[in-house]
Amino acid sequence: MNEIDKLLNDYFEGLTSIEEEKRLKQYFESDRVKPEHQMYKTLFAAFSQEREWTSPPARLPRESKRKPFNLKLWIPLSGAVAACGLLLFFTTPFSRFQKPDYVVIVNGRHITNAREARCYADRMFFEAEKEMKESFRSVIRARQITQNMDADKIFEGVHKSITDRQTQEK
Amino acid sequence: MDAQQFQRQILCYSDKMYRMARSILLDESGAKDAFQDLVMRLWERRDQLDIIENKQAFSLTSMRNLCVDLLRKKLEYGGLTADIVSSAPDPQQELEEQDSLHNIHRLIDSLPELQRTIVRMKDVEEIDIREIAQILYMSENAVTVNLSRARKKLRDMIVTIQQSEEKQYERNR
Repeated sequence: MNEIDKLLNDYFEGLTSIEEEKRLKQYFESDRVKPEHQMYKTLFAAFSQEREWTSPPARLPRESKRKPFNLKLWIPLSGAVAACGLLLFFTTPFSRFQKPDYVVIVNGRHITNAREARCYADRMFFEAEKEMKESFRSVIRARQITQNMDADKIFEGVHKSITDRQTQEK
Repeated sequence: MDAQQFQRQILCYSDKMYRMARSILLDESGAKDAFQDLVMRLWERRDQLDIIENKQAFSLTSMRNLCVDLLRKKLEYGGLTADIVSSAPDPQQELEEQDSLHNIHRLIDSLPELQRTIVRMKDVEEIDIREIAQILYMSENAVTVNLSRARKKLRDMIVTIQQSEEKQYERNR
């Protein structure tokens, strides 16, 4: 029994190593295949052909371009921010943030800001003055009407106009 | 593991994974879908893949498990036998077909799923018995036994076809 026959026997028993099977494949790819072994040539050729089947391209989702969290950068940065905050806290005058010691109540509304209270008062006084002027117009008009409703004046006027007309007719 | 590492360590086995899917499912488009599905799953778990030593074995095991699950689901919905096999070609039919390579593929597909998987892992992918046993959760002896059975079945079918060809030749003389 030659080497190839022995290899083929071991091959079909499942006992050949990877190297021995490579030798068999090389034999069946060559032109030296004996007639009694021709029937197995196609079998090894089929295995070689299957080895050429390739996968489709793998589609992966795009990775996010977000950079990884850099702890080495953020620790000192957050420390600096905290230090600035503390500095501001201790150096800022508190009077601006203290509760005022007066309250102005305007029309039921509590106003603690002096400037705002002044502005509010000015606005209200202006609107009151405007309203007063508006309302006094009717009073002045009424006085005028009252003055014009004097009976003696009216009769005197009528008498005068009649007299004038009579004079013209003559 | 970033995209480049994933490409280098996992996608380098793409062809083997795809061929395994194609062998088990006996369906090219189904194999492509299964392959893409597995690649997506491995990508989603890429951070856990660094601890795996034998990534080839892991990839092929995952591929096989996925395909076997797909076959089981198809079985639940009916229409398939428990062990999906391709029908063995009629020897007479073989004489009429020109493409002998195609016939051999069909012969291999006609083997039971475990046998054709082992034959292809050994003869196409050139994976050794020890690693095949690891991928299939079998003993090395069981792998050797199944490999031997598969190759002998192929030999018997090839011999049957050869004898049919000779008889046909004699008849035509």
